[in-house]
Amino acid sequence: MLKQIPRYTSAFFSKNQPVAYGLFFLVIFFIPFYSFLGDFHETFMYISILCMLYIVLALGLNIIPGFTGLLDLGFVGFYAIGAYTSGLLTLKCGAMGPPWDILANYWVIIPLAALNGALWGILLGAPTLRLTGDYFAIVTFGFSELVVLVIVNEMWLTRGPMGLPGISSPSIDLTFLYPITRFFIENPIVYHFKGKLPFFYLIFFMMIVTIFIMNRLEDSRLGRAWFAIRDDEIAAECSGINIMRYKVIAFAISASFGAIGGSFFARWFGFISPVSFKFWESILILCMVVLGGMGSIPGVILGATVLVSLSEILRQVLEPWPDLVQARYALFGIILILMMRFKPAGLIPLSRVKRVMSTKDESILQSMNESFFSVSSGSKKLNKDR
Amino acid sequence: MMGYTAGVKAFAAAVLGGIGNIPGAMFGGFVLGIAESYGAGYLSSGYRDGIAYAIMILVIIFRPSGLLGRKTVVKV
Repeated sequence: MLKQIPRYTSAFFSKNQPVAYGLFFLVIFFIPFYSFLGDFHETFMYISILCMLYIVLALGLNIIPGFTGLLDLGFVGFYAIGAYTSGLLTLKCGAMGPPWDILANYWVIIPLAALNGALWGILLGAPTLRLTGDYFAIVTFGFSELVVLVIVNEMWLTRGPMGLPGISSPSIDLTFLYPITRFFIENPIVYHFKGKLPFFYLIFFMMIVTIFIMNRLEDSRLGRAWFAIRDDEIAAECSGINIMRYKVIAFAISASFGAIGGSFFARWFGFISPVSFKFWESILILCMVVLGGMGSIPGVILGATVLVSLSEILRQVLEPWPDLVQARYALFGIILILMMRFKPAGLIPLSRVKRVMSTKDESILQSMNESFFSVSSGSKKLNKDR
Repeated sequence: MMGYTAGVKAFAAAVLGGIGNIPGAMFGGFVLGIAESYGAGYLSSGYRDGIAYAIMILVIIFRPSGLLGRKTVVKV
């Protein structure tokens, strides 16, 4: 029943959501085969991987400002935690030998990074989530700066500003299936990730899973509780929602998605340093959420795609003029200001109010509208009389 | 991107003292500056900014309305 009611102000996504997502995934799935792009293809692959990474991150962040209605300026802290969890486990445990090197396996690292992110999300969230507005924003900002400072200063663990080079690529090791696979292929199957293609499909898969989880979360009890908290905290509390609990859950889930993004980044790039986790990155991801429409999943996807591809393409185009490359961020500022002027709710805004007001039965809607308008016109009259 | 540290620290000092409170903002600035300098001297100069942020977070957690701020009552 809930599905029948338009969710986004853009009618296209509301009506054809599965079709739109299907087309979107199909177009992305075949990107590695777009040979007509010629020399640009390599760059295009790189931009696509980056776009999808940021879609995962932006969807993770979206839970906090979009679903729960809190301003989070420290998302990059969890991204950094995920990246360093992944990088350090790979490097240290990989060198330790047999019993421990299972921890250097990327498929083990993903859940570990997510858990580590969630742990820090809970540690930060539990004491601070009763704060509101500016106070909460500044605490999250302070946290992300502290994370970066710890990374810079704890040389014995993280090598500080020198970063962690030489993080090996993931591999798919099917040796444990050898008793079965030996009937088809002689040697045990071990596939090492090489080049852009496997990373492309890895992050593609991660993005699909993230989008799926977000769509399910939105309609779940959890998601509806978050929306209630966002719309009116006191009313939500009066309706029996344990605000602290749901906020901490939101924070933990958001942080774990940030950490998963970070763990991918470390294994994909092969090199991480504190420079990648500047405060600026948090703002950029927040911009994607705001640009697309807070709380709107297709909006956030679009926002991330637009900002990342714009940034990368401009960097390529403006390469001959190094001064202008830095100035491209000014363009983002202009875009955001124009957005706030002409489309303040984002590219694909969420229409929660409409969902409540609309029903399949037209007569009910009409009577609701009538009563609403009569009340509002009546109040206007009252105001005039005064 | 250079000026944002100063801007953020000013904001942190204001939050520390209690937003909307002028003596509080001054006091917050003093506390933050002294803590930062002593922290850099006695603990570790690498964590100079970190000490400021850590103190700010602790103050906000234990005194959500700032050092000199008054408790606000939420009206429904």
